[in-house]
Amino acid sequence: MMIAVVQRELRSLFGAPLAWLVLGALQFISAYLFFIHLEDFLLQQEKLRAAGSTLGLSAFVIPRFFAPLSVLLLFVAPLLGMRLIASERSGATLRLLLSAPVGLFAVVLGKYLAALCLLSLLIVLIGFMPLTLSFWVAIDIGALLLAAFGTWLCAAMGLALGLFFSALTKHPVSAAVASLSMLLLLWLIGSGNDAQLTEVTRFLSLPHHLQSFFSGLLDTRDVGYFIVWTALCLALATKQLAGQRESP
Amino acid sequence: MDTEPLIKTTGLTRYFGRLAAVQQVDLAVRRGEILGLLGVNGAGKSTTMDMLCGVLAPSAGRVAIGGFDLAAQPRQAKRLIGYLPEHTPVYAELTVSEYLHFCARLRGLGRRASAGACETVLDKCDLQAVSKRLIGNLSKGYQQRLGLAQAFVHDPSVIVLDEPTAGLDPVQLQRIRDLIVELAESCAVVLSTHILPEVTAVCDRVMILHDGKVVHEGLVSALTRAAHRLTLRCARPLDTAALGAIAGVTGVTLSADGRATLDFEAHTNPAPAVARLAVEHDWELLELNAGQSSLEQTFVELTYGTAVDRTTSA
Repeated sequence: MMIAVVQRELRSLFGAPLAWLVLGALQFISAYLFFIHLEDFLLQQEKLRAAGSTLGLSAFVIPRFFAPLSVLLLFVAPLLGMRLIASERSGATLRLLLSAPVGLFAVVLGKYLAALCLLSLLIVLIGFMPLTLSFWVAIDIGALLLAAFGTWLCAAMGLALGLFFSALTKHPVSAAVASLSMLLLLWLIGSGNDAQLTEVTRFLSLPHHLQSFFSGLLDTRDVGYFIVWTALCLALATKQLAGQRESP
Repeated sequence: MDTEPLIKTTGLTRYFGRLAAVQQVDLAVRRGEILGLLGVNGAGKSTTMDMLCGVLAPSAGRVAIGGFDLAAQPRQAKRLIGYLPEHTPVYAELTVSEYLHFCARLRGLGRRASAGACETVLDKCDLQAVSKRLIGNLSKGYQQRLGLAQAFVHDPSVIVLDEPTAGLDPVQLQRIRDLIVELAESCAVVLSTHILPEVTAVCDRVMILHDGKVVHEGLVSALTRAAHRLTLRCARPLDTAALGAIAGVTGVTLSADGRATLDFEAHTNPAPAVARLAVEHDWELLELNAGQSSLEQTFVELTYGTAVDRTTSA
């Protein structure tokens, strides 16, 4: 039954222009970023070699390419998540789901997975760009996969936040504004210099956890950070829907 | 008709904050029976229906569907329910077929079973011609029929319909009423409506809700029985004394337009005697009508009547 929810949501996502617009626009932006960083590397290659740097193409291009894209996706994801539950409520279809023999978590997860499919497709398409370099030079596939994985986790978290706020309201725009504000707060917490960061702010800081993926380090604490946020949002969205069914 | 009710509620109550939207509603609907829920806007019909289908949890009381407690065994109970809420729950971006497949799968049917079930309901609701069209482009009438189609696509034992004929033209209205009666042969049906003749046309029993409480419950046939009143109109002047002498007649009143109204005792029928008298006295009988104690009358007395009383006392 959850598969039915996923399929229906995918049909609605790809039946609306938003998904295609996001796919197209992000392809265009990522292509632009990819080319400017590639060109930058070609220009600086001589200087780097003269300075005795061992920085290769992968180490130069991959972090510079994925870092801005992960930020962009972090803010695009709530836009995809904002209507997931809010639109069911405003379109009166929520009653259909609530009266069906399917658990609330299955409904929430089904909708989330459908939107995550779109984001995953987006990241795969973006990841193909640096991968094309492997036709001519040897690139560090591990670093590329890790950077893409970090970007994916980051987008998955943004989507979950969007979905949670979507469960609170009837208006998708309110859900988007709330989740973007929350993400901005988590981003800014880590924007001070290292001396200003306490253990708590370092733990909460989103960029702090994202950075390691781009520098080629896979730290389970960073993976855990995104997974915990995502799971928390999905659990809270389910709780919120269950709460609305109960007597206030 | 089975003796065990398919829908059974006991002490069903729902609060929204301090407002008691539904209070102590007990109902039991058996297979083959159609219960009509009547009430003015805000009487608690939709809240009751939401609770029957598990959309809202009751603040107090229980709901059992086919013997399964809705709170303790929601999956088993919900598999038996088909629900058409007040606002048709459709996705504008899907086609009619896609939507029905989704609903069937959501209600637990397998891929093959849902394909067959969709074909059946498309035929029954006259939706074959629009099966490939986007729901967003359909008229309100089609969308309403689609909403009804999704409520029984999975062959449920219990069908709950909140104003099922809203937005339908008279021809569609009749077809949908016939369909509801047909569905009720194998199901227990609860429907709410504002259209009082619909209750008399479709329902076996009626429950009138007012301010969240049940103010009347009974058989529709009992509410629509003939009233103890006859009216007659004749071309020539009437003899009221002769009419008053008929056995069972308790009073005769003559109106300015020449009509006579006869009140009579229950379990008597003076109509044949009146007709005979008219022939004997050569009154040239033009009309002889039996008055009906309409459901409308009961409904207005129980709901608007109390509303008016409260306004005047306030």
